[in-house]
Amino acid sequence: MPRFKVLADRIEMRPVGDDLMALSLMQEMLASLGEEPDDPAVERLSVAAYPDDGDAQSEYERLMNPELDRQRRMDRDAVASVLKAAESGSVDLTPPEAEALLMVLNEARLALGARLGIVEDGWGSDERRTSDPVALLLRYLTGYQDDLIRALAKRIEP
Amino acid sequence: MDPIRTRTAGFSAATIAPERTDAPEVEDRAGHDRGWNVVVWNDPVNLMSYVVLVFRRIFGYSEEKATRLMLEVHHEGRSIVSTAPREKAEIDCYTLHRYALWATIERA
Repeated sequence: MPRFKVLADRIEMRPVGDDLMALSLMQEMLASLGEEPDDPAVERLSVAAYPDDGDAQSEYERLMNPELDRQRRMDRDAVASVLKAAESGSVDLTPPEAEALLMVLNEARLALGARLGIVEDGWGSDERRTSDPVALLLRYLTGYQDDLIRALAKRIEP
Repeated sequence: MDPIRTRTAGFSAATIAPERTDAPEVEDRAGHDRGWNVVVWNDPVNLMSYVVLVFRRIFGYSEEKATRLMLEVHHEGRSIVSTAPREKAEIDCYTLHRYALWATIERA
């Protein structure tokens, strides 16, 4: 059974296998960001718009970062609500909920990738990463996000 | 071949750092500001399909154009995905950051 079914104005999310456990671990991981010093995941999620212009970057951060932080918190809260509802079975995602799930999945995958030190292609076939719990979660979320992308892409096709 | 793996865009975030953009104050010969480029950089973790979807979402690009830009990011390490006045470029960059893409702004 596919994880997602595209409906007229919704996407039906059907938890299968270890989906809910993986998504719950994802949420816990994201909630822990910033707790450890020098966490590469935090740096990866804080991209400089003006990497070579300190003044411009400071102004950009002053204008944009509070809103970015607020939006990301809202996305994670939306995903938390979806996951709670999914404990009882399938959930119909509104377009904003599906988009929040998409973005939160990507934040989580980038954070996990940063913690694993992934800096080049081919990480998916790196056998050394097969037993690492962080790598296993990244793999799981990658497959999950891929399924969601396939569903969402159908919604914007003409 | 792993269908997901094949869609995994790649570059080294550590080895391909954004280049300096020491461009002078840029005006064309008519004295017009040429605007600001929004650049997306490659990343080994983002899925290619995700990058295409985001480009379509944010800029309304066709699948063909979004795919061409994604492949440029993948193969060249970076791609200029929009050029606009500074305020619009910053909004585009912010939106790309919301999707957690590696985006920067430089003078056109």
